[in-house]
Amino acid sequence: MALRKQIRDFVTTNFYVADPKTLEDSTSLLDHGIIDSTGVLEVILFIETTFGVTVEDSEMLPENLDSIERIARYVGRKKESELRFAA
Amino acid sequence: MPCEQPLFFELGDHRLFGMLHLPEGRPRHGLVVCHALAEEKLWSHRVFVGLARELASRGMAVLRFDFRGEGESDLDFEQAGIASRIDDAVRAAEVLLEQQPTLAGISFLGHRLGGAIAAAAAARLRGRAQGLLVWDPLPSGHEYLMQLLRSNLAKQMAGNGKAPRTREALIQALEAGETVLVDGYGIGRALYRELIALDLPALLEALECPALLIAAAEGPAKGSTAPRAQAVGRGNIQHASAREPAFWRESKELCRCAPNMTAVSVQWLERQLT
Repeated sequence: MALRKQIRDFVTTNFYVADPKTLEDSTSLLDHGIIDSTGVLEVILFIETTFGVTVEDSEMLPENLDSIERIARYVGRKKESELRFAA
Repeated sequence: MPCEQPLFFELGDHRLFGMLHLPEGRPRHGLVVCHALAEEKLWSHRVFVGLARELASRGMAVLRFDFRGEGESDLDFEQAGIASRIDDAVRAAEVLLEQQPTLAGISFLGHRLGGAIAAAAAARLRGRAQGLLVWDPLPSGHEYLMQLLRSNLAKQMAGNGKAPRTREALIQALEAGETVLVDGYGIGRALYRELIALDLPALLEALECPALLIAAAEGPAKGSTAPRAQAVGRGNIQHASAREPAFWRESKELCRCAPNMTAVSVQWLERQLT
């Protein structure tokens, strides 16, 4: 939950969200015009600098980056796989 | 009162647009500003208007200008490259020296890619270049190109739900002569090759004048907004950092000034002048 909150805070602080309280974790950020292509880059920069994971070109997909929920799941998966790789 | 004069100056058959900021009375120093590339130039424009006005109020003559291929200057973006931009910066410095004959030399300030351009121009001007300031330096042209290409991928993902080509594939396309769009600007093979060859540390090695490289550290300034940057370094190259948001990137709210980077730059320039 802390991860989702961190992502939510980033999204609502850096992009225009009319009413942050009504933004669902599953809301598509692209379909709702909350982020555009520049926003996608901002999200990637946020993920890489905040969580220390590298977003590969092949991972630049809506399935990974298009909602708070998806970003949280993606970051969780990446951190887990990096930990497994390091062990 | 400081005054501002828009002007066009010539380089071969081309015209370049500039804005000359003059202090009241005789200028005690001159500065040529080399802007960042493409979209980054647009977003940072207002910051450099403010910087030039600040420096003019402190007795300096400042020339901001548009590289060929950008702004009001001749050529389309795709027709200009790194070499043409270096020529432009050298010409801009000559224009400032011609317009202000009491100046013994000038300094350059370059932002992002403009920093590498300014470094190359300063090296070419030799003794007439008295200083170099680089804001948010880009050490490697290759790394910068990869950032630009990622923007292409993001555009495809946002529009089509998937980026069909990775950056590696885009580089192969560039090598094959295809023009790749980044934020609407066409990067062709010539610019691509110039970009990947760009190496700021190597350019700085050829520099005779003192230089300060100021890295932008993102995030809110803690406590006083006064810069805490300590210029450190060996020889003629110093490094500092200043807290600023990335004002050259699209943001929720336009950044109109960069007070900490401006303050570090003013301090350094004043020290060079004493």
